[in-house]
Amino acid sequence: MSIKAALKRLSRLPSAQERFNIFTSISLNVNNELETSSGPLKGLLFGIKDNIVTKDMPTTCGSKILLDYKSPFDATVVDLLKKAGAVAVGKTNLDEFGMGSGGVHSHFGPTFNPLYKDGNFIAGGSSSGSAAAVAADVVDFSLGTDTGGSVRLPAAYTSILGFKPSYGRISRHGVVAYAQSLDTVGIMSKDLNVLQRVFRVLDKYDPKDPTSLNNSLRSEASKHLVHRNTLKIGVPMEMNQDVVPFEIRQALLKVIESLMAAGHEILPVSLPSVKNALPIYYTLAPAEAVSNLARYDGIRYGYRDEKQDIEDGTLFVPTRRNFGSEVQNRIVLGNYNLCSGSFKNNYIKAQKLRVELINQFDDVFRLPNILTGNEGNPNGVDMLLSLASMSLPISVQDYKSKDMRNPLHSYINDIFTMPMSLAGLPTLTIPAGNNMKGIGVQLSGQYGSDQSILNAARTLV
Amino acid sequence: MITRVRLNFPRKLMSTYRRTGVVGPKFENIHQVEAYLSKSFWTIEDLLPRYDITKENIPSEETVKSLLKLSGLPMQNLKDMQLKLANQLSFINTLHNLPVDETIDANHARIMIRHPKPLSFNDIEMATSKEMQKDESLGEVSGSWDTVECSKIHENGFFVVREGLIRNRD
Repeated sequence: MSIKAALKRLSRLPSAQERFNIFTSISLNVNNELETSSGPLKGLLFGIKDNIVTKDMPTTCGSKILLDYKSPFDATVVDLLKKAGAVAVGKTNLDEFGMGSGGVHSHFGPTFNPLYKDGNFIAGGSSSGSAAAVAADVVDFSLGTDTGGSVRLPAAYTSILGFKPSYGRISRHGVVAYAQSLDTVGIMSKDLNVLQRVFRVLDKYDPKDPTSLNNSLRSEASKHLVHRNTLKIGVPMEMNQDVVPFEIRQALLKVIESLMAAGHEILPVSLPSVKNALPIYYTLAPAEAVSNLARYDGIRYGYRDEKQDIEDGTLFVPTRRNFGSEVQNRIVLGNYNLCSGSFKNNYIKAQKLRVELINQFDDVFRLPNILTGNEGNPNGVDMLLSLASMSLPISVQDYKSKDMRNPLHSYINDIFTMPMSLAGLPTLTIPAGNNMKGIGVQLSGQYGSDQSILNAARTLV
Repeated sequence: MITRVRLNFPRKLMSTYRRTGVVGPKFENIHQVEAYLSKSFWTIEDLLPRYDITKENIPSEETVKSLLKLSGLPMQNLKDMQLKLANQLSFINTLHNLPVDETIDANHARIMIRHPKPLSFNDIEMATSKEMQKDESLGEVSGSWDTVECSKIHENGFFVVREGLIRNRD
């Protein structure tokens, strides 16, 4: 992209920031960096979700607990993008520590959806600012993180592309952990070519990340590309839900109609464990979050209470009370899940049920799974197609009042995205519904088939 | 015009007790897909509590106090926290009644290779000697970083805990 075009994009930032509350901090060096950048992503502007660490801008995770915190190093993903010539515009708003699906639980206030010029609608979360930055045409692409749907849901709500690669494909070194067995860095853009170019830069083994997919498995995965012109695409029956509004179901039907017209085969698929995905997730993820959030005591870095470090005989309460309410709820739940009785009854059981879900995905895919050793089902499907969200974006006020009445209502919003997170599968959200705003469908593939998903998406974009 | 479509799914696709993934026969036309998409095979609202939160299913105040203490969080809004936890538990406790194959190795829940090559003594020795070396790419450069520079309160290069770590604690 030319510097002129990049500067034009950049000129939209002040008004977009004022209207949609997209960024938590903004780089003051963009113009200089644009002039000197070189590499395959030269001149492309990007936003960084504010739970990915950067040396030259604060990393707050949308929390008062990390207000003004500056990391001594750049995350591997930031480093790779800078070396490839992309220029960071700023850090983007998010639900505190990635916990939320509306983009409203941030110390910096909610992000608003740029698709709606009138009224304050949610952008979806937790990568709310990253999605809004792309939707408002302030950046060419954004980095988000996806633990249970945090890239794909906001991508659907803002009608952009949101890609969650296979778990371990993109380095997590320098990504502030929420639930490390699920956390994945994702890419958001309006342009599939840009998204693919960015993925090519980031798709590398990183020795600094112990969960990074090693080179021999990457090479194994590259042997299993889907080469067919006509694909077998499965539609999971467990994702048919009466509560989904008619217009959203119609959008999925239209996508399927166009796929059938292009000669692809559509098949019904059943994955019974999809029904268990939410309770599994909310057993495992808060338990992992508890360990990750235990480090925020204010002693070594981050916010610290001005007066004391102890309250009611418990250390660090004066500082830790500054976590937002949703984070506090999940910490308490996580500690409950890890207590001896619940650990055996819930935690271990949830892990076993997660294995059943992974095995069921293996049952339906034609490609082998390079991690589980499953050889693939010769009569299986190449990909799965489903909706990305259960509802259309609603106003921030409605979201908050629903959430206050019962937070479980926002938890169930992730039912379509969570199964793929639990199985670590590559999934791309693609805008659907023609002129309808805020609807997306998801294309998912076998573990490691990221490139095949991106190639297949060309049929739909 | 309403098109009547008959969907002939294999019995194994419809079984409630099945624990495997199944692929059905391909759809022949868009009307079949439409009929399929309009049928809900379960409802997500089943996951939401069907009962009112009462004294019987609410976690005790003692339980919540002990969880807050473990969490390093303030003992406030106890009633509210009890109610929130009760709601969350009603949701995740649906796992209690689910059958599960007890022979499954819970370690396979991690998205990692399930059957890695066993490590030899030589592998461990090599990895250990590599770990012992400084790695500049990890920021392991002597004198490059002041460990207490991000701390709000520090003294002579040490972190400070006001009121001490041992005194005044339950």
